[in-house]
Amino acid sequence: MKKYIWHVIILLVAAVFAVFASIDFLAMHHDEPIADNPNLTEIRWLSDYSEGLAGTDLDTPIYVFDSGVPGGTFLVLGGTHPNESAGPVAAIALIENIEVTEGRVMIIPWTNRSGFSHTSPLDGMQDFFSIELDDGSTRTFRVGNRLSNPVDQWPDRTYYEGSSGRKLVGTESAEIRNINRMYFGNEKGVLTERACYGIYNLIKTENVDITMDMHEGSPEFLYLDCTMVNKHSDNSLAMSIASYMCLSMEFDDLTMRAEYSGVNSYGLSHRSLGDNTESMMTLMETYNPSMGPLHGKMDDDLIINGNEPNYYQAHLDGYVYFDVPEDGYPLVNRVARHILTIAYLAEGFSEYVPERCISFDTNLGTYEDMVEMGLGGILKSIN
Amino acid sequence: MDLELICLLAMLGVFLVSNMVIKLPVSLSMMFGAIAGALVGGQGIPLRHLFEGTFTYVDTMLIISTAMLFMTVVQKSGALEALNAAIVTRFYKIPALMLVLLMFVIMFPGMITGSSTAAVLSAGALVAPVLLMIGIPREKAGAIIAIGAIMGMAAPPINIPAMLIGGGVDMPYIGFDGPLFLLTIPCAVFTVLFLGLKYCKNLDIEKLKSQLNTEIGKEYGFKLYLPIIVLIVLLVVSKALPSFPQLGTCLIFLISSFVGLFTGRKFNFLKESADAMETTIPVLAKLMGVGMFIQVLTLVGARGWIVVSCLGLGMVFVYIATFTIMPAFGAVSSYGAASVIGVPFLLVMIQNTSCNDIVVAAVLAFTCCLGDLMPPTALAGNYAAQIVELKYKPVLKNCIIPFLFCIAVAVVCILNTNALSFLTV
Repeated sequence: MKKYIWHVIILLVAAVFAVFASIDFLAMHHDEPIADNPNLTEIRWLSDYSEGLAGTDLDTPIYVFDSGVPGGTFLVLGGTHPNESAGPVAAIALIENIEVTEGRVMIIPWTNRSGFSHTSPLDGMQDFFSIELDDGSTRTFRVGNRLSNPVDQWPDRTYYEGSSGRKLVGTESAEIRNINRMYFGNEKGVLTERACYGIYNLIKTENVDITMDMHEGSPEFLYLDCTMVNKHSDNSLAMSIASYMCLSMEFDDLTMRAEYSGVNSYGLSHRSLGDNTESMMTLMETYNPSMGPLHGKMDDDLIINGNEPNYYQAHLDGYVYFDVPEDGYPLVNRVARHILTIAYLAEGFSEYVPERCISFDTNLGTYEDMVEMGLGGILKSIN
Repeated sequence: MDLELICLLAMLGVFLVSNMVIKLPVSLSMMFGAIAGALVGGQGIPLRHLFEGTFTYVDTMLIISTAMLFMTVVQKSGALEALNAAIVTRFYKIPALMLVLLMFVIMFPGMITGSSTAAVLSAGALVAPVLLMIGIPREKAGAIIAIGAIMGMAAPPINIPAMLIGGGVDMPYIGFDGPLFLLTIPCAVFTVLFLGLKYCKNLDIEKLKSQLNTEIGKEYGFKLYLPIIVLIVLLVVSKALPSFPQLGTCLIFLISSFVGLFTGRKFNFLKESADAMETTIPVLAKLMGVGMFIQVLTLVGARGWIVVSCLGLGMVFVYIATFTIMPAFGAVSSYGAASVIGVPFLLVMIQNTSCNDIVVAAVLAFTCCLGDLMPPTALAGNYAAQIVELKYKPVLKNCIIPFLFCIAVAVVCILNTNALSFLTV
């Protein structure tokens, strides 16, 4: 009898801890509020383009800014990988500030919305980080995981061949929950694939001319400050537009290079959506020091200020190729870089394809302006 | 002193005191170590991280649990006894060949699942009674099973640490088969012959037959082996034929167990499976403790600190650390060793030497796998010890010479990567 009493007590204590932990986990299921922008035309849902997503955690809002003036369409994907914080924050900053004057801009801030509801085991990631705005209020953002939540899609199959022909096997089998491995999607496939199909169908249905998928990488990654461009049959045009963007960035003293999609990059947005739609597909990466396995203490300071002495030391010792800045690489700089890349791509596209002109004002000024304002100035207060 | 180092010392200190002084189980000691690290690192008691850490190995835990059910069925139905009898009576005349074949049987599940635990629990448990019966002492039989399972985990086609290391530097898992076979086969053959051959001379087959249950095989015939056949067929087919429905390792174990309920001796499945799970719970708890420990180690920055500190010591140290710290990290997690140490070490070697990167990655992965021998986690070792009904310590002692042989083979390979590059084609 005494043994059973102990069992019951232990179970009750475990249950109490579980309740408190579950409150933490469930908090990640709530989307960040986004401030109103009078220029917003409408909000659609990805399930409008992929029926199987309706009512699931992978259904996600699409913010549409239509100038009413004929032109092209630019699709911006933030939060394909929710732990790559600059992407979703840049997307939200654009939603809150953009004013489109020609053509349309469509922005998805949480492309893998399910991925925002959990973090990656063993990586010791924060679940939230907070930014103080200029008016003294606070905005809180989730960090999330690059994969869909197993609560939404599990177990991972031991072998899976996506629509692109990418074979997921061994440790890559978990990538079946990675939106950026499952393009161009499958309407009837696993949930993550249905989200990919939604993006694919959105691009086809809305005649999207150019797409930017915003990413970040750990310092070991070889394609940082780099934009990947799909090698279309008319590749000289795509690369010309990307080169226009790179040169414009260089004029702002910002290093940027453009490269064609890898021949084996099946399932990735820039490759598989580019191969299967008419949209000019681009994907950009910035350096995120909180993502690498060598990261130091995980806290708001690391995520927001990007100050990572471990990687700076590893760079000095010759083990990390990327030129890790000694003073860190703050989130605002990365967000500004993403926003500016999008702006220059739209400018370049309109220059080369004037009949499908896409023109907008981010209302955030230059790179220097954004860095000076800080995220506290870029983001709007939530009323 | 760096805060990360203080956190690390606090975690290790509390873990060791809890385990060795207060005599708490490894799992609870790791949990207390993790809590201590979080407190020192200014994270309070991070419930979310502790829970998240425990869920890291949930898939592995399910595989272990279902594999245990399968093993219970195979043992209680009589299939194991019948198989033992068949193997011994057919191969007793050529003991060296018999031992090498038995070693390959131990390795097989590890090769196709990438898990040493699966190898120990399935084939290891099947072969162990045979090894004991032919006269190999328990501690040596345990060592053969532990090393065999690890060689299976390291051998192609599935080597998870190699995939983890390759994934970290954008290197596809292609061209690894040759180097991994070169590393694992000689080590497996050496181990089984070194530990077992001297006990297999002059086998008295009549005496062995008297110890074996040859009747049960006659009573139930071929159908007795059906659960094992179903298991092997489903495991192989689901790997070899992508078009075959993907059942997953757990379901395959469950289907095979279900088949076994009707192919041999009748037994109380509920009671036996509950007993089996009771012996499994300490290992599952240990995995949960390891998950918490690594999670907090990463959260407070101690993981990054360890690697950067090692890297700062230069190439000679990197080579020494590859064959010391990397397998030792297996005490926490061999997969952790691959992702935390293997990736930066591969980058260091690629950048600083003109080596063949695939051979280097294969050697690093092989070395990580050896970490599954390291206590306190020692997944392969602990289960092998349980199977031969011993504590892990005597089994570990017998693993030392084969371990050093494996390290020697790995050192030879890493010093000759370019000469071995033909294996990567």
